[in-house]
Amino acid sequence: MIKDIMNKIRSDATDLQLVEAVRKNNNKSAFGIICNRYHEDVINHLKAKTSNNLYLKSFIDDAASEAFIILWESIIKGKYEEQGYVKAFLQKIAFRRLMKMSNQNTKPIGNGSEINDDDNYDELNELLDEDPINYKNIADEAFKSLKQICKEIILLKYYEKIDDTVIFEKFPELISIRNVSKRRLKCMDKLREKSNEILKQIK
Amino acid sequence: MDTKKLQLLVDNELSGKKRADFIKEIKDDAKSKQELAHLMKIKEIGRSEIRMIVNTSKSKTKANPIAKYSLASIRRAAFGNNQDSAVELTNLPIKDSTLNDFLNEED
Repeated sequence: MIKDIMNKIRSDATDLQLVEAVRKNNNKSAFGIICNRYHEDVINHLKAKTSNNLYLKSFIDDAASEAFIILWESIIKGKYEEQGYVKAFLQKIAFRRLMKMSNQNTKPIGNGSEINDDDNYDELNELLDEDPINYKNIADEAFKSLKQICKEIILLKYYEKIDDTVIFEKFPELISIRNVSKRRLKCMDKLREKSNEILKQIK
Repeated sequence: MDTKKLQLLVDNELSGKKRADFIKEIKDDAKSKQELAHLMKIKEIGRSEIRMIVNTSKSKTKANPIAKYSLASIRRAAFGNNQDSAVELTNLPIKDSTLNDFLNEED
């Protein structure tokens, strides 16, 4: 588990302050406050939108969770432009997600047009699922085999988009920023090696 | 295999023709698919950590469960039509099973 060593933030901070804290240093405490603040509102919004449709209601929890994940990713990637209107953003995304989950708003694969982050994620997963080789399982096994420090560095860099300088602050035992970069590349190579090993065993 | 471009694809930073062409390109390239699976796995694990934060807040903000016994039903069970609520509930003759269940309910 990656430790959140970022600054503490007050629970009565404004939405804008919370978004800034997430944007500047991936502050998970700030994001937790956003979740606490709006989770129930998002759920209630979806319930109201779906009125008595029991089928749609079964997707509400997942759609709400996905909306928060999309919010997190939008902020850390610098794509969130709604300023303080977090609740409205979450409600909009959650409803879109709900429609997608219930298959009422699916898009064709590979149409080449602009695509939402969540649709992109789904489409790439489908692309991998089409292959007779289960690359996703292989990647899962390979990732599990990595040392903890490798897992954390890889996640910080490739998912959280954190700079090597900040990663170095979290892992001072790596001695220098250059070493962070070297270690990260080595970890990725390890991941590929392990995948190749598993793939050979399958073939 | 172009890891940087694959990362751009995973991050949804490619669009239009560039994106469509690249998807076509990797469809038949085992190495690219393998690397794509790595990057997608990293994203999935990262997301699961965020999902945990969301779920923690979900349990904190979950609405109170609906009370099994409404105050009105307890009052009716205890007093019947007698509205003298100064009497201790436990000293009352049990009027029906609702009050009995309420008094015997474990915390």
